Amino acid sequence: MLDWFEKNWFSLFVPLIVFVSFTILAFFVRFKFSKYIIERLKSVKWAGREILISNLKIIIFYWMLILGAYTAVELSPIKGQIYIIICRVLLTVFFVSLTYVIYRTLQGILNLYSDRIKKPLFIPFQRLKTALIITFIVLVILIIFEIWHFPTTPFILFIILSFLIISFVLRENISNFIAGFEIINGEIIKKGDYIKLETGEEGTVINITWRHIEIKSFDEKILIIPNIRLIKAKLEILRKTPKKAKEPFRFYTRLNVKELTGLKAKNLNELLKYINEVPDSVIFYHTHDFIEEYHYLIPQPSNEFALWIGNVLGYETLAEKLSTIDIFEFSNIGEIRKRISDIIEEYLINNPSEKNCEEGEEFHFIKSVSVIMPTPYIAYDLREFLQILKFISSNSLFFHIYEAKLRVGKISNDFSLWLGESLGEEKLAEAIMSIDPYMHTIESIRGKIISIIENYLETEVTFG
Amino acid sequence: MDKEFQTKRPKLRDYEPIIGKSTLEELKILADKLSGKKILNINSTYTGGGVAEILARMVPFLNELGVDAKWSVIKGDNKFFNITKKFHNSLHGKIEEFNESEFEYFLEINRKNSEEMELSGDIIFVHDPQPVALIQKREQVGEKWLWRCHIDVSNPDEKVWNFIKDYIEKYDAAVFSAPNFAKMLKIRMFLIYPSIDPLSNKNKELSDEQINSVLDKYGIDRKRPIILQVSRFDYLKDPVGVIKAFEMIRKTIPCQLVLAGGTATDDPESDKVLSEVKEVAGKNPDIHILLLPPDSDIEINALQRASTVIVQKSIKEGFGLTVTEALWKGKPVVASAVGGILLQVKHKITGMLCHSIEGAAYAIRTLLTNPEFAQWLGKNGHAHVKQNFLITRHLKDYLLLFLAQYYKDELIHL
Repeated sequence: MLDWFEKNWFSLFVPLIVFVSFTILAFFVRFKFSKYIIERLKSVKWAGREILISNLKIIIFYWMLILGAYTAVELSPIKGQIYIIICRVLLTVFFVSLTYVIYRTLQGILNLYSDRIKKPLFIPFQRLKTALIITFIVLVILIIFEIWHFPTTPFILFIILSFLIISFVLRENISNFIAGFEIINGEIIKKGDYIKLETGEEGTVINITWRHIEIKSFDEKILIIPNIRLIKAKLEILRKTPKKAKEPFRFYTRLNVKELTGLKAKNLNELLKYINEVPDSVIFYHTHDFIEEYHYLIPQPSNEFALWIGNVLGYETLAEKLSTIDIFEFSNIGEIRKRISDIIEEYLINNPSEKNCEEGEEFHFIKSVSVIMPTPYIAYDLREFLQILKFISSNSLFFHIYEAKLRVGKISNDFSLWLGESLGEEKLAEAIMSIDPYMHTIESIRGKIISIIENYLETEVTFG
Repeated sequence: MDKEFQTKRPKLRDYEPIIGKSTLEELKILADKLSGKKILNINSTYTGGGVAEILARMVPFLNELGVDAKWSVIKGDNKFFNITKKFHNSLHGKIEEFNESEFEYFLEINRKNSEEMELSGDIIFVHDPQPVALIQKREQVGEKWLWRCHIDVSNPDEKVWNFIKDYIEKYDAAVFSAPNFAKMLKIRMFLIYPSIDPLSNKNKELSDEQINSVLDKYGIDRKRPIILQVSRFDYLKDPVGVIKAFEMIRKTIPCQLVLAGGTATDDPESDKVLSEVKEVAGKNPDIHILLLPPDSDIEINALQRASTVIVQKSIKEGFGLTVTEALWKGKPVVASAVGGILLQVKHKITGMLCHSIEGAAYAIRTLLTNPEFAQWLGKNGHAHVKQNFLITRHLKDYLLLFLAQYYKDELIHL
């Protein structure tokens, strides 16, 4: 062994030196050349400049190494079959690297332009890129086959047959896979994006795989959406990080049960007497019960005192005066009670009457006993608030809009207070505060608030 | 017909498509607040009648929500139930003769039941007058005792009312079905409307085939408008008045009248009313008088769904759940302005109210000639029942009632 080495050391040492020299040269060129190129291309304003430079740097580096290896083999004593194999390997590496760099360059340029093109055209770009990479892979394989003198016809047949079988068996998976490729490769959706599908699912993207994406909804539920569904669906992508509230908004709900006071009025004097005596909860009930019981009517029928006076006692003028009281003006029940009482009192002074209603038609004073409870839903930002608002029960809306102001003693509805104080969204708060809840159904108030917030939020819409 | 459905009780989740997920969630939140409380319902029968029907649904629902609810019935002989039947009539205002021994026997049976029954629970919920005197056991059992009155006691025979009132006022609270059905009491009084079950055979959705097969069975023509009144044959339901109103309408509008109902076994007058109705109807082929057996829920459902206008021309009425059923099916309703109907039908909003035969005829004609208006009323009526008279609302009210017993405030923060 030692003898052999003594005889051949020169023929081994020279190729090694040559290869090491080429390697050093490759590093030198990689750094010097890039500096030189950057200097030369400084004046070029084309955005693809960086893509070209970085890919040229890579390809020149690898080609220097391949050239070094080839020169070393030529100078070495290696001959015959081994020589041929090494040359083929080097040629293969050369073509693979060439293909890779061309693909990278094209992909970079396509990405550059697809970002600038309007979103509806985005998907065809993704498909083009997918087709590109598949073409390059097949091309490289065919070149390699040519280099190694493998027969290409069986390979092509194999590819076609495999493609057909796989397409048939895994047609759904392939669709998801291709869609996933488009999503991942094209960066259509990124982790952290907030997406909203037309089918109703929405949430923050927490994971993207080849088969599906995972989104986390506001109530911490993980939803898995197959990529193919995602790519075909009309979806909204919201990338702007929403502002976090100083204090989160906890949605409450309130459920009420009716308690009979046992008091009933058969004429106007008795009605007035009890209106002045009963607790606030009774006045609240008779001025708000219609909103709940007849929530589907626009506008809501007037307060129940007015209805009874008009329908049962037949004092239509008084009924009209009472029914036109704008409850939206008042900030507490005491004020409403006083206004109703003043109107009836004034009417009685001018029209003294003791007319009794028919037996069985008396006005029954009913009390609203409300149980206020927290729901599991908490909004930390406007987006979450909007999402919860869309499905929270009408009881919850009733509490935050009507009851919080008049019975809990807040200066406005809860939503406006939170938007203004915790989110600093004064304009939104004012816009919601300006909705007169006594002129709309609960559901139409919901729709109006949703619409105000949605218009306010910046949305980025893509169409699948 | 559809035997499987009849025996299969719906679960609360089955109501989600009707009332929404958030309302179901609220029931769960509410029920959680009653965690640890045991509720015992007591009435006089497991079968037959509206109370048993409601409890048969309500108790499983409460348990499904995690509330420990049980249901027991008192035992009594024929003598006892004859007395309670007389009580029932008296509380409705009918004059009945009583002797002292009957009151004593009533108390004796209640006392026996209180000793023999397994009375346990935090909230004892007693339904109707039959078991009212079980309250004598309150010192030994339960934290809260509630009395649920399912009948109209606004104009009772004072003797009977004063007798049971002494017991009622020992309860923590009483519950009535309508403000007009209540009497002034010293205890808290709650108002809880009755309800219908949208998934019961009487109210569930039916296919066109099912509806048509019922119409074919009774020879009713679906091509012409159908006016329907569902009620037992009783003078208080005024079936003769309905026929007279129909005769006025058919002078100008070709239509059919269906009077569907049963006869009450405990009402000797019902056969008389039925023959009078048949006599007034004569041989008019457009008047269909259907004497239906008690288990005809699907037939009634089909008839209601096939109708163009549904009438309830009662002279006196309880809550009027047949009106609720009609409204639920989105049908335009013409009903007398009596009893609980006034809580359901707001004139020209959820239906049409009438006070006379002529008024009923006019309202029906208005609806038959203005189908868009009729449809609008039907839509409102459906929404009104959905909001106020479904069993899930009833369940919510019971949960709130139980909770409210532990608080005196009007605003309860939990």
